[in-house]
Amino acid sequence: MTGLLEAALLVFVLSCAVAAAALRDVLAAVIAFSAYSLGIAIIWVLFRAPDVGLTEAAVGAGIMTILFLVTIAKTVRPSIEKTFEGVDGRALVVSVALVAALSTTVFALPAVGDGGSAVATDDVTNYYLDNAYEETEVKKRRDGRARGLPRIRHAGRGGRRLRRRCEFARRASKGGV
Amino acid sequence: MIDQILLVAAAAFVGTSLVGVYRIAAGPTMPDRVIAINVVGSNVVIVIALLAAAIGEPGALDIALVYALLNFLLSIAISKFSVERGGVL
Repeated sequence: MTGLLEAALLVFVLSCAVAAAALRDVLAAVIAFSAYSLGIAIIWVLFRAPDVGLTEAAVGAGIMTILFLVTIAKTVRPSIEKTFEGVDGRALVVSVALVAALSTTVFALPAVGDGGSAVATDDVTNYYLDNAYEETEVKKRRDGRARGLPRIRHAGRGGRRLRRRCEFARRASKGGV
Repeated sequence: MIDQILLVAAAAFVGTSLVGVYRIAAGPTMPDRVIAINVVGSNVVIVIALLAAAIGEPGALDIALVYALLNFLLSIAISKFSVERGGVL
């Protein structure tokens, strides 16, 4: 069922990109570009990268559109006779060939969630898995959990709030949130 | 089972956004396109919320919130631009 969503997203993103490239009116192209950015953000969320999705939301759809609008405001917006730009055949051939050459590297990537990928087996990853506790000087408890957060004994008004915050952080460090 | 239904619903919403993309590409006037991008943005908020439920990642709801805010900002900015001929901020 994820395949259905992926196919729909692919069609959506591709048509937005083609529209952004081919529209003759620059303001319409900016609008198509922000729609493209919205589609890409869904893809980031779908591939479990919500932080990238959030950045895409703030930068791609928000800042870029405003910057483009300011740019259009400072320059000339040409009058339009037709909706779409004509496509140069030779440029199309060159760009398709470039994309084909670059996409041969896609097959060298590890599969999604592959245990043998470089991220999981790299020296850096293993080094920090082994030495993170010593180097950050976080004590390990007997049950294996990290103990780095202070205990608050006097619970006044501020202390209670601080303790609640520490409790939240402790739960987050256990992976509950 | 529920996850499948949510994913299919998300796919249907993406399909609906395609109609908006057609309006962005073909729309004869700029107000058409502004409304279309607004529709697409609202659809994206819904899709991200559905995905957050389907893949069990409630943190994705924050992205939906950010998008809801940005969608509003985007429409305002483009409308202001096309009405005042170059006044954005």
